Amino acid sequence: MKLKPLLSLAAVLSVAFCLSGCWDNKEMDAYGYVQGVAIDSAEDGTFALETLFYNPTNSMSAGGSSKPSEKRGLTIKTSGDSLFEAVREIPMKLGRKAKWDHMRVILLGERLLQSHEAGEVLDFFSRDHEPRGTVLPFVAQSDAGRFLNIKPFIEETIGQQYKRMETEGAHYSAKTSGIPLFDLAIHLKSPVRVAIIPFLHQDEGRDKPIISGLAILRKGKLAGMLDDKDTAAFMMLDNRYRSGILTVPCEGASPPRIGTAESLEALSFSNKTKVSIDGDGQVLVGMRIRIRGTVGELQCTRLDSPKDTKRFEERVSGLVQKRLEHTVSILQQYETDALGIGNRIASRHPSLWKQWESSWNKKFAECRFRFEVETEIVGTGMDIGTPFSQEED
Amino acid sequence: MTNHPSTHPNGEKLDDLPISRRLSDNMEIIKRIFAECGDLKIFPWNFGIGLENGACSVFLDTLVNHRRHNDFKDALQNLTTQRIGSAESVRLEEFIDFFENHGTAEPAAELLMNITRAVAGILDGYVVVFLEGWNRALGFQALDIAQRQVSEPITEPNVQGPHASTIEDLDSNIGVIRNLLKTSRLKFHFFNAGANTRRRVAYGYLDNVVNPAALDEFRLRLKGISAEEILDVSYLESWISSSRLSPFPQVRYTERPDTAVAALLEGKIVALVNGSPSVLICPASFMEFFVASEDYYYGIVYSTLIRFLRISAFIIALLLPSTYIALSTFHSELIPTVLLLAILNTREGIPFPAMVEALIMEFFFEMLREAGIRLPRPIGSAVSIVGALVIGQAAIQSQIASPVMVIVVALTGIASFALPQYNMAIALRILRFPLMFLAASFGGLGIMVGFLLIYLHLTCLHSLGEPYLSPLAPLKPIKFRNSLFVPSRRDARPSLRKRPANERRP
Repeated sequence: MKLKPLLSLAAVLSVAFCLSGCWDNKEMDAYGYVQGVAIDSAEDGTFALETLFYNPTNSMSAGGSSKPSEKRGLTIKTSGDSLFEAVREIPMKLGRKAKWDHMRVILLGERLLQSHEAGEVLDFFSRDHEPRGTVLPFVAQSDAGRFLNIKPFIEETIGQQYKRMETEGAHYSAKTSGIPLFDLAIHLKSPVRVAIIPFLHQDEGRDKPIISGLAILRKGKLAGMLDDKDTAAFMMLDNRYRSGILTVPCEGASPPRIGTAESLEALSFSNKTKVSIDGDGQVLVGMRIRIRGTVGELQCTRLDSPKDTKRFEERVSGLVQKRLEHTVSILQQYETDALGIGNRIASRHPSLWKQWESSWNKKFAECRFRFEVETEIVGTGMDIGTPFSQEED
Repeated sequence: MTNHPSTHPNGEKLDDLPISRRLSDNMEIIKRIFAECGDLKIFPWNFGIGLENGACSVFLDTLVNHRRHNDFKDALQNLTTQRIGSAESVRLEEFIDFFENHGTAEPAAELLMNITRAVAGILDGYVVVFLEGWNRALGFQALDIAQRQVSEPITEPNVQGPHASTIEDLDSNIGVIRNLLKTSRLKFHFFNAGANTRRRVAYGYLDNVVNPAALDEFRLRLKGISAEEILDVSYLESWISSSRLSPFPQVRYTERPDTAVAALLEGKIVALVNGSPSVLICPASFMEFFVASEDYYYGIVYSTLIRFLRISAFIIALLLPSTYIALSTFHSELIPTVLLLAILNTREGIPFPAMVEALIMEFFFEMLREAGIRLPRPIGSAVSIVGALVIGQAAIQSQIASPVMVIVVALTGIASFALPQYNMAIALRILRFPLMFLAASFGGLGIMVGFLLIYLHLTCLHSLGEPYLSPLAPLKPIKFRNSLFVPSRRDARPSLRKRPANERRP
C-alpha cells in the first residue's frame, strides 16, 4: 500500500490527536482546588469529611476596580463509609471536581484518632496520585471540622495559614514539629510504630487557633500529648532542633518571670545519639548535645570574663539537661518510643529485636538515658555582656 | 560593462548583429529596438574638417539626466592635443586608429563591437556614440541615478561601533567592504541575472579562509540563477537553502559593512545584489543568529550576559504560550500554590479554554504586528494605541482573556523582538503554533515531543553542506564555548586566521 506522505501524515496526526491525548485536559476552572481537609468520625461510625476549597474571585470586574473579597474559601461537608466515597460526593455539592494537588493540610480529629488508626484514614491520601507527600497532617483538638471555618488572618486561605504557622513555628521556635505526610508514613511503618503529629488547638481562653505541642501516635492511635516546652526538648532529643529560644531563669528565681528570665538564641544544634545494650539486657542511650548560640537577653548575669561566660554556659547546659530528662520521663511514662531507639536496635540487632518487639514499649520505659550537654556562647549580640538594666563599670 | 543575454525582449536576434558602417542603418536598428521608449534620445552632430563627418549620440535621457553628454568632446580634446593638433582637423581614419589601436583615452569610455553591446550599454546608462563610416561604437559611462545616502542601518541600529549602512548601490557597497578589508585575497565575482532586470549580482569571500567545499556548493547551487529576475538579494536565499520548507533561516542578512567584513573574516561567503541594501551571509549556523556585531564592541562580560539574554528570549518566544497552556490545563500541580491561586482568580469567568484564549490573543497580536508594519507611519501609531487598548485592557475587562494570558502573549512578543536576526523571530512565530496545539492535546509530553522534532530537524539541517547546529552538533567544544560566551579578542584571533580545515561537508 502506498499512501502519499502528506496524506499519511494527516492520518497519523488525526489518529494521534483523536485517540490519545486530551484525556486529562481540563481547564483550571473545571476544578475546585482543595486547600485543606478535616476528617472526623460521625456518630454512626462513618467518615465526616469537611473540605476547604479555594474560592477564586475575578477581581477584574466590569467596573475595572479591583476589590479583594473578604473570604477566599468555602467548605463542603460530605460523609461516607470510605474516604473515597466521601470525596466523590463533593462534585454533587460543589459542582466541580476536587483537585487535591494543592492541599496544604490534613486535619485529623482528636476523637477520630482515639477510636481509629491514623493509617486507616490516611491511606487514601497516600495512595491517590494527586495529594502530595509534603502535605502536613495535624491532630486537631476534639473535632477537626470547625478549624477549617476560621477566617485566615494573613494568608489567602486558612489551609495555607496553618501550613505557614506550622513550618515557620517549627523553624523559629521549635515548639511544634513540621512533619509531612510522607515522613509520617515512614514513622508509622517503622519497627516501633510510633509517630508524632503537630497539635492544632484553640488558644486557651481565646478562640484563635494555635499550633503547638505534639500528639504521639502509637500504632496509629493517640497515645499521649507533649506540651510546647516538652516539644522543644523532644525536637532536641530527636535531633531535629534547628533554632529556637532557650529561656534561662535567674539563679534562685523559679518560676521565671519578667526581669528574672534570661534567654539564649540557639544558632546551631547537634545531637549524637549512641544506643548500647549492656550484658543484662539494659538499654543505655547516650546523647552528646552541642548547642551554639548567642545571648538573647540578659537580666541578672554579667558576662564580663571568660569565667562568667563559662558559668553561664554551664547553667544553660544544666537547664537543657533537666528539660531533656523531663521529656524523656514523659515519653517513658506513655511507653512510647517516639525517639526511634527501637528502630536503631532493630536495624543493628535484628534477632534481638525479634525477641523484644512485643515487649518493647515496656522496655523503653526502663531505658537509661545519659546526657552530655555542651553549650557554647559565641556572642552577646550587639551589646557587651552587661544587662541593659545595669550600669556599666 | 558586462555580457548581455542573447535575446532582446522584442524577440529579435541580436547576437550576431554587427554595427554597420552606415550611420543611418545603425540608427534604424536602434530606433526599432527602442521603439516606443520615449526617453531614448538620439543626438546627431558632425565633426572633423569642415564638420563633414556625421555622428550620433544615443542615450536614455532618464538614466543620464543630470549630466551633460560631452564626454566625447573631452575624448576628442584629449586626442587632438596628444596626437594631431587642432580639433577641426581630425580625420575619421585618425580617430578610428586612435580608439582601435590605443584603446580609449578616457577610463569611462568603452569600445562597443556590436549592436548587442551597444544596446546593453544604452540600458546601463551609457552615452553611446556611433560614427559614420565606422563599424564600432563608443560608450561613455554617464549613469546618474538618485541614490540613498549612507545612513544609520535601519534594521540593525547600534550604540557603539560604526554607524554606516550599506545602500542600494552594489559598487559602493563592495567599495565600502573593500575599503575595510584591504587584501587581494578578498575575491569578488560578478554576474548578471534576469533577461529583463539584468541585475548585477556579486559574491565575495576571503580565499584563504573560506571553506572550499562550501564555496563549491555555493557555486553549484547558483547554477542557472542567471535566468532568474532578481529583485532583492533574498531571492538568492531560496537558491542557496537546502531545505526550502524549513522555518529556520539558512542564511543571514546584514546592512552593516562591519558585520559583512566580520563574516568574511570568519570564512563566510557574502552575496550582494545591485538595488538591494542587504548583504547575504552564508553558510549560516544556528548559534550565529544570537550574535550581533555589537557584541564584539563591548566588554566580554556584558556581551556574554546579553547573549544569554537572547538565548532565553529565544526559549521564551518559542515555548512560553505552550508551557502556559500545558501547565494550566494538564499540570496545575506544577504551579506553586500561591501563584496558582493568583492565576485561578484571573481565570475565573473566562469563557474560553486556555488554548482558544491563547490562539485568539496570539492571532490578534500577530495581526496587530502585521498592521503596524504595513501601515504608513502616521497611521501606524493609531493602530498601536487601538491594539493596546483592545488587547491590553478591554479584553481583560470584558473577560474575554485573562490578564495572565495577556502577560504571556506580551512577553512572547517582546522576547521575539529581542533576537538580533528578524529571520529567526519569524521562524519562532511559525513554530509557536504547532507547539501550542501539541501542548493543548498532550500537555508537557507534547511540548517535549515537539521540541524533540524541532531539534531533530535542526540536526538534519545543513547550510551549504555545513551542519546547521555546527559548534553544538557535531560538538566542537572550544567553538561552542566561543559561541556561547563572547571570547576575548586575544583568544579569538588565531581562529580567524586559520582555515577551518576540520570543517568538511558530511
